[in-house]
Amino acid sequence: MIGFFGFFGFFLAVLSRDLRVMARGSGSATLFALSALLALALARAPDAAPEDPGLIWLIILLTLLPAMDRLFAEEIADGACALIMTLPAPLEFFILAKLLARWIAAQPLLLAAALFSLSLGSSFSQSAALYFCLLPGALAAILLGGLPAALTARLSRAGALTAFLTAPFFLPLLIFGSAASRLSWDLLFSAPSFLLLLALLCLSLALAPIAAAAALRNALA
Amino acid sequence: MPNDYAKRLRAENLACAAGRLDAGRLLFENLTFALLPGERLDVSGRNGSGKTTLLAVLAGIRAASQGRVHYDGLLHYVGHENALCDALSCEETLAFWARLYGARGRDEISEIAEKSLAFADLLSLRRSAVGFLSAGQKRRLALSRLVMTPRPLWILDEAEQSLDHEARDKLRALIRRHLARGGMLIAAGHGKTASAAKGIPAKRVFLGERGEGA
Repeated sequence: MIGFFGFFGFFLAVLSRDLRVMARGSGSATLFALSALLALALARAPDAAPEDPGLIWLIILLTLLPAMDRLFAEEIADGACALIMTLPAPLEFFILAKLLARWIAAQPLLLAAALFSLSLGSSFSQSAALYFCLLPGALAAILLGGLPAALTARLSRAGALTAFLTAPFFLPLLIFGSAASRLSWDLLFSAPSFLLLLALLCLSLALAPIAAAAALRNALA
Repeated sequence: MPNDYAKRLRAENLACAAGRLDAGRLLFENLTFALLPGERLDVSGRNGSGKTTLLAVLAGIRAASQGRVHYDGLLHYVGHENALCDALSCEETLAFWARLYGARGRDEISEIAEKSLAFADLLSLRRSAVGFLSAGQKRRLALSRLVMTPRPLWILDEAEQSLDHEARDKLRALIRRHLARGGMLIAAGHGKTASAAKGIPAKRVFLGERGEGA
């Protein structure tokens, strides 16, 4: 009765609900990142070279980090997770939908980061390379961040612990992502650092929802 | 079909620990019972005796420390918490659930949401954010999931908390209809659930001193 398409409908329902809830939120993470990017522009010397993409990567990842913290905590506290677990659709779909919603919500931020690098004097091809590295990088970061968020979902005031657990997951992304972003557009798609970034994305896409679901089930038990 | 009203539920030798930090202390053990179509089970006991835990185990949310629950159908679970998001309106909340319960297409979703909104008696507050509702109104909204789609097993945890008389009567009528058509009900409450379905005999589980079950 409920096959793959049934689960897909479930997936879309969670995704659109989360986007709607986030659109009504304060959007403080995005504002924080934008102000950090602007501060970066003010802090540099006027005649400095175009900004190294590594700094932009750092700002983006540091913005994503605190936003992951309360990802599942509310749903655990208000009983929505328990309810979802009584439905025939697997918990993994619920988690994947929530994480994907985060990524979609981060799109304005990623675009702003690319435009920002353009406005600081990077060439168009460099900014495009940065944007195309940030797209898979941010998705992988959000997927990997889902695991610590699920592990600490039941703990109150887990902010510091979540950040501490998430940071090691973000480091490979930071290393390969910023390395790939320094390449020009025509070299990007054959560069090892970019391919490794995509490999990290594939790995986290396949494993993160399963691991996070296991952690959430454990949190409820 | 998994939504078959001829399903039965069987619990065998259930035991559950109080928590991971207190794994030695069992809330209940050797709990064995069967529930047939049209039957209800009242779970009673004092605060902290494990009623909510037992319901969560039966609903498949928690794993039991020992024993097994045999039930392979669909169920409605209305827990202690309402599972509501304050930022959404009543209408959006119900449309979201309708989709979770398998409704597809704009017409079907709005029809089901409308039916639930009418049951919750919140038609005039459809566009209000859930965060502005009173405790009783939130409870009504949570319970309105029950009318969205038929499910053979209902598991209700303190369903009547903060409900007024009218809402309580409405819920009891709904429960009677559910049992009359062959549904099963497992309910926990502070003894008041007994009046939920007068005339329909209930099996009882009393959780109290260790293992005093069935």
